[in-house]
Amino acid sequence: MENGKPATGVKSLSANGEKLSQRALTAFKRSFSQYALWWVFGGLLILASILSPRFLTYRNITNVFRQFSIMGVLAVGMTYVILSGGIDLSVGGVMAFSCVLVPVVGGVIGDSIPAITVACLVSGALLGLATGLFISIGRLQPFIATLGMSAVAEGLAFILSNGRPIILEDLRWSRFGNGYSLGIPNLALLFIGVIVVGQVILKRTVFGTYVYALGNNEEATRLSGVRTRTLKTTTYVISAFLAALGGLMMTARIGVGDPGVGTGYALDVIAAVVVGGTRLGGGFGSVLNTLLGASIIGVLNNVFNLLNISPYPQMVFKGLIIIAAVLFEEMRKRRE
Amino acid sequence: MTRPLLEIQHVFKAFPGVQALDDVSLDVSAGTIHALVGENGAGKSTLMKILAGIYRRDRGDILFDGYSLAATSAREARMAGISIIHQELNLPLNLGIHQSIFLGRIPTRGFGIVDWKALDRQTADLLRLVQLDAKPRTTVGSLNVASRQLVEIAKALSFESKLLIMDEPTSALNRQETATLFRIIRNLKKNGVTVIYISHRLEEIFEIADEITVMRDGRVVGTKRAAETSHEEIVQMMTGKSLVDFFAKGRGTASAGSGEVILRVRNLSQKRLVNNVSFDLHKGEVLGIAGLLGSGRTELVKAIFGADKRTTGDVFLEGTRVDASDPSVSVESGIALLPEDRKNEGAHLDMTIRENVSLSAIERVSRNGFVLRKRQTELAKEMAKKLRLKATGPEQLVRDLSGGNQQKVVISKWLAARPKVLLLDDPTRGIDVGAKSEIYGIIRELANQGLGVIFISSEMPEVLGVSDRILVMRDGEIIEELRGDEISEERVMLLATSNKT
Repeated sequence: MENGKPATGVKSLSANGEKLSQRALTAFKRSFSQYALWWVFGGLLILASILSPRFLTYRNITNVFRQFSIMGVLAVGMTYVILSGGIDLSVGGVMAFSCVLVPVVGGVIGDSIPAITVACLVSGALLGLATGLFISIGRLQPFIATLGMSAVAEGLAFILSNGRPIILEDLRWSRFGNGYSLGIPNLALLFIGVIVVGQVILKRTVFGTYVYALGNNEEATRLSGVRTRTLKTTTYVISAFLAALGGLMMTARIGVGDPGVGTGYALDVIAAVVVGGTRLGGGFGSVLNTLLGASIIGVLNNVFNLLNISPYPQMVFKGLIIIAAVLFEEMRKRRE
Repeated sequence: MTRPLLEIQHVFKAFPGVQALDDVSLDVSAGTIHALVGENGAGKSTLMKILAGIYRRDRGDILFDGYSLAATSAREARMAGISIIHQELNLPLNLGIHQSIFLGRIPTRGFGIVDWKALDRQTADLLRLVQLDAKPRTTVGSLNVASRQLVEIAKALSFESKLLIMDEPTSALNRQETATLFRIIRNLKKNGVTVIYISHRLEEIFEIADEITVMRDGRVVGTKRAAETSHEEIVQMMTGKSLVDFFAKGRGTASAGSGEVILRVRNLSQKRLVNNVSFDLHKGEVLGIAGLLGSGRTELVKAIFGADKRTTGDVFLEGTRVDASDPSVSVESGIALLPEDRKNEGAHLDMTIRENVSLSAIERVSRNGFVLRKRQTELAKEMAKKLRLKATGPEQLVRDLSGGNQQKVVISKWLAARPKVLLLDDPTRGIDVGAKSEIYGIIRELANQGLGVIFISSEMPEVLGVSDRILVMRDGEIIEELRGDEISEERVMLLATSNKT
């Protein structure tokens, strides 16, 4: 939504009175389509509170938050990759790998939470580094490189755990994962932290500027003297790092190192990014968009649960909503 | 005298901002080889695309074989008997010769089942006609360029074309292949096929053509019988009078370029496109590189910049060797490239002017990795003022600017980076006359400030008008250096269009 700057347009045409009304109308239309998703989200909230009186309760809202926090953290990483013009299908695998790594590393080095955390995050980032190098130096298609890495990471998770969930002896993990601070679930606080940092890096730093440039026009970015290979690799490291963080959060929530947690997860994550309005192919969008997308999907899931709809139609619906979001974006592009 | 096969009568065609064809009339007699020459932008391609049904004429009439030609698609034109063979061949490389020739009309035995025997037989007949020694089922991709061209000709013959248009057919062929092609063209002529032959290589034209028509600025300058004219006369017709005043802003003083050497290029090669090129560029000099499309001029500047990997050779900036591994290295040491393809390589169309301008000079508008938005905006405003950019403000998307203003944004990006050497690859392509003149002024001003500038253009008069010194390129090599009084359009064209020796 960073291009929604109707103000510039309006200011500049004061000299040109004749076209003023027409252009103001265009500016309004533009801003409406820029903020269409917020309207959708608002409508969804109203609809949800009408459909179910339980929706607007403190208990339910914190529950929604906790549910989509983990997926949201992964989606922030995915936002970087998609903005730069790539895609990362390995997030579920990396998350499962990291999730299993918690009890496995704990069994080797003992119960030091900081040490385990660092080990998991570093391992995750290294997987991302490998993926990034395959894509930037090896020139593999992101789709196929990350699909392969997804199987590698998930396979490693199953090997490390002998295919079975490992129960965590150290209960401090679960206590954190299900606990609250300041009345907000700890996992949601983590998610908010990731959102804030993610958005600031994207919008305020040189790195963020380059990410947009890369997604907008890779060759022009390279010829502008930007080290595009390093840049591209970094986005995959960030995505894998956050997927590993998501894995830690998952372990904390369920109290188990489960190798199966990542299966099908990439779909949810990509859905959150795309529904939020970030353009597949790169260049447009932001972390805030992703927050919106994750919220819409989180609320939808919650409404389905409140209305006692089984998970299978939910899955169909999720698939359709991704297609609809991309279709909408495509139609908008064509109109322009 | 028999009636001409093709009569083009008072044809007009305009594109936004350009009158591409301005009252063009031309007759082509049946069974002749008719050459069409002119500089880039003279209107040759537009005219041929109208004949081939790709564009529609605004006004005028075209009689083909006595009937008014009203083809609205390449397919219809082909059915009428006109085939065009484009410079960049359009064959699907993964298919067999037989499939690519008969694509869309493969003989069947009903129910969509391919009649392979008939297909092979018909293909073999055609291949014999163009003297191509290959099996019908050979994949097109495994053939060399010359053979692919013969397949294109075979395809045209399969439509029983009466008129064959060939656009720069020899640009990728060596001398032997060219000789073979000419033999086949003469053979076609014997069989009654009429050929319109477009080429920049005048020596070839005199070898093959019966008649030569010269175009310039969307008009026909004249038609001559090849036997009754000369190389010099044709070049003169092509170039006409150059617009002296137009380039006034770009002209340097007599002493321009007498400064010290700023860029030294030695033995630079890039695959087979650039061959062992060496030259020096001086401070305050605008060095023009003249050459036709495909002469290697674009590849040369890209190799200097490090955008493409060099095969051999070194580049020295102020005496220090510049590593060629990546454009970022060149940019950091002070070399900038304005690429030929503005939309795909130069500008970030869906980003703002502010973001575009600071992209190569981000260290000027950032601290500790954080971008300072205010400074970024100031920089964009400063550049906009300097280059007289027409825009609503720094936040306008580059996509919404005119071509000339988009190019100014790309130039701004490089000026912001404060380079020592600026490589300009066709900076005025596709922009209007007023903006062109402004860009010449900017180029000269930069040179006066002590930059070394290399200037490439697809328009010959422009190179001549703006440069202090000119290197003429052909087939990836620098064949001549011209300076001062030696520079004339005729001279440059003669050199650039001459054959390999």
